[in-house]
Amino acid sequence: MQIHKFGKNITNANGAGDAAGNAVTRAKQKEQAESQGRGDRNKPVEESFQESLQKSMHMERAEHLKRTGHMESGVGTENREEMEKESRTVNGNVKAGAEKGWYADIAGRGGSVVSHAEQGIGKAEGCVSGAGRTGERPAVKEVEVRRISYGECDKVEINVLEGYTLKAKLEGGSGGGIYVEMKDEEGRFSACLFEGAGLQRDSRSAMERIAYAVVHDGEGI
Amino acid sequence: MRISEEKEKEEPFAKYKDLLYRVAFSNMKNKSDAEDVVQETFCRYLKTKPAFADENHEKNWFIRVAINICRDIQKSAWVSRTVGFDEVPESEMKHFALPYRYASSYGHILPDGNEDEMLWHVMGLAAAYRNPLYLFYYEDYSVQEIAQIMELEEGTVKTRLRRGRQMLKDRLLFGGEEKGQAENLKNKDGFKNKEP
Repeated sequence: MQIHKFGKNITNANGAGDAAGNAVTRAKQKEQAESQGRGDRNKPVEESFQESLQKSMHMERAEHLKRTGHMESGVGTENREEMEKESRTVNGNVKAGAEKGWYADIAGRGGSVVSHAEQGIGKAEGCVSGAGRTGERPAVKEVEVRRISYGECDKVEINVLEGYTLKAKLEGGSGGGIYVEMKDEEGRFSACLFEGAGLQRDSRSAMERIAYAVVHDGEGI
Repeated sequence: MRISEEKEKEEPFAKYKDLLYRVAFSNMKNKSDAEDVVQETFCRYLKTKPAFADENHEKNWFIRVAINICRDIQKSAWVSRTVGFDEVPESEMKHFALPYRYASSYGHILPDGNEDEMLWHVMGLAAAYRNPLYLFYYEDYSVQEIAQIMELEEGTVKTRLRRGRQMLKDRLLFGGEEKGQAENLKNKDGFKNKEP
């Protein structure tokens, strides 16, 4: 509708009022009109593009945070500091050493602050994963692999069918933690240091289970 | 002078006799043959007097020679005609123990290594799979170290570990294994070169 009117005005201005008109001129006019029409529509298009860009940036940032191990799903877009603040209040569940590389779950929220160690261990086992769990969770951090021998260990688990071996050793003194070393089916080594408190016997993580068995010696893995 | 020489000769025996016995037993599946293999390994050591770059090299040499001797015995006409079992006889199980406590694949603590059924299943595999699996899981060697001992590529070791595990799963869960693979590798030793 707008195009037609615009074209008509131009034609009149050119003084070529016949019905036949000039085809080339009309084509040009149409083109101009279309471009103007696009111009009118540009504003909302740009806005929606910006919006989607913002959204995707937002999502990317969230993904990045998730990848770097500071945030898990169910917590929204809050940043890590906020999460850690909250974690101090929820269930009184955070270990004292959070700033020194120890992270603990925010139990009861369905989300968790996961340690860097979890990424190093591989998806199959992992150090700790506790989304949706309640209660106290153990603090854990990734440490350098020491390649201790079976003889030095307090507990050894050999799981040929699953393809891994686990070695666990109680570190000296109280509060020393439990050193757990894992060799996966490809022969890759990884190691974690667990704090004694909050370990779960029926954890999904084999490393945590063996750490529990070391602390509660004689109860089995 | 002579005493120190004697000590030097005896030192590897004290260090490696238990390890070599376990490796030999996992291959021969009986005490007397395993002891023969250990003795023969040290005889070869005394005959050849090899020079070692470091302790790892020394240990790897002993293990490699022991496995080679096992292979030679198993290939001999007498054994191939008279010994027809792949599994460790129950009467021999008491002669084998690992020097550490461990939990088995079935998730319970064992007082010693003797009752782990999985260990006997590993020993029942063909040599190409048995040795990498035994060294990897029960002697805690890395893939790289096993590759050095058996003079194989690391990728080959990983493949054998994977296939060996699959065979164990098939055997335990389905009561059989891929016969083709087992037959193909029954007499395959997996070594490129033979040590003295």
